Amino acid sequence: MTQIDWQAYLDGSLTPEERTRAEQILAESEDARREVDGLKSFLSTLREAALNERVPMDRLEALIPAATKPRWNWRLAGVGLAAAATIALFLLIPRGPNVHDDLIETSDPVVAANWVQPLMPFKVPPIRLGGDRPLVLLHHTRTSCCFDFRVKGSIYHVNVFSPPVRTEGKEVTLSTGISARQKGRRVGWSQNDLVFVVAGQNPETSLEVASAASESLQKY
Amino acid sequence: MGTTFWAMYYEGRREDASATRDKVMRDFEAQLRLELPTLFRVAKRLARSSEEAEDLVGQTLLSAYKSKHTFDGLYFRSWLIRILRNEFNSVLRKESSRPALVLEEPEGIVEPFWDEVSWRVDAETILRELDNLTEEHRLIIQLCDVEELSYEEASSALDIPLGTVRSRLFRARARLRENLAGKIAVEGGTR
Repeated sequence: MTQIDWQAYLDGSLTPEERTRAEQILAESEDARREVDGLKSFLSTLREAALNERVPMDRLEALIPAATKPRWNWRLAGVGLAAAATIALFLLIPRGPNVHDDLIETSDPVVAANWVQPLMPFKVPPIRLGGDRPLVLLHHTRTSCCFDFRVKGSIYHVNVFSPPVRTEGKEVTLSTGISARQKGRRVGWSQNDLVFVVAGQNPETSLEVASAASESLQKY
Repeated sequence: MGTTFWAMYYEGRREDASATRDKVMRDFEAQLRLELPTLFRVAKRLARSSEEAEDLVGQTLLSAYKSKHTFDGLYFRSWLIRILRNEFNSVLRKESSRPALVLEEPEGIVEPFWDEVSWRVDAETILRELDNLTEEHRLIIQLCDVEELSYEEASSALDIPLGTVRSRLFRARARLRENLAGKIAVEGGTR
């Protein structure tokens, strides 16, 4: 057995002196060549195997916070309101929600829904869970938005999509009587011509959140 | 005395970092998109299920977005992986009171039999045994051997010294090889 670290040799992390010594040994020793070839081959098999695992790009891309800055709906704000006055008010009056490029930090679902509405291809319902489960923020992609609620110390996401979005898992019934699908910590269902998916830390709590969201949608 | 080589080198690094940072800030969304496959694979190596990996990536993207001003401009991928790992650890902390111990195992004597392993095992077995390693070991293999991060990038992603990257990778591969060799011994093989 040689004293050369062949892994470091392949990783290119030997010193120039060690590398020269390693190359001398490789030129002379068939065992060393076999070891290096075996390691190379193993690493290549490992890499290929790991890179061949399926990556759900469509679903991952939907998670990217969109960089597009939402526009205020001027018609709602009042046609006669001058831009300068609006900017002045915007700067001078202390605001509740903290608005970022693609998310809004607010506990008011109506403010959140109105803020994101101009960018969504569907009518955004203001979802509230009630009880001690406040909205923390709302973020969005180009085609969906997500209300984040704090529930039992964790964040629970209520995603809103326009159909068709497939939901899968075992069949469960929400407190509103609407049928839903649950897979692990996710619960998905259709209501009001939209698709909702709740995801959180705990499967039982995800189901509770889905039921509360569904009740809120019924009232909307 | 003029400017030293190292002063120029570090100045160059600062300029590179600044250029990288500007580029990332200009098109944050596109840069995130490029890193999605790596983030997902690393998340899956940590969480060990696609569903949890997706949640982890989603949380990472949101945190990255909110703290994008903290990116130092050096290694965007490493920065994202560091956030991902923090998110994963915060979930673990919430779910378990068990302290996350970082144990460095003593180095053992390693016999050369990579060639024995490389041609006898299939991809599925390799991935299964990779997932059976400790979190640190499967993560270092994922970063260095699968995603091909340099030692420096891995060091930045894991927030550990370069020497630790090297020794941890060495031990992780040795452990994986040992586990695979054990599989061959149990299941047999033909040459």
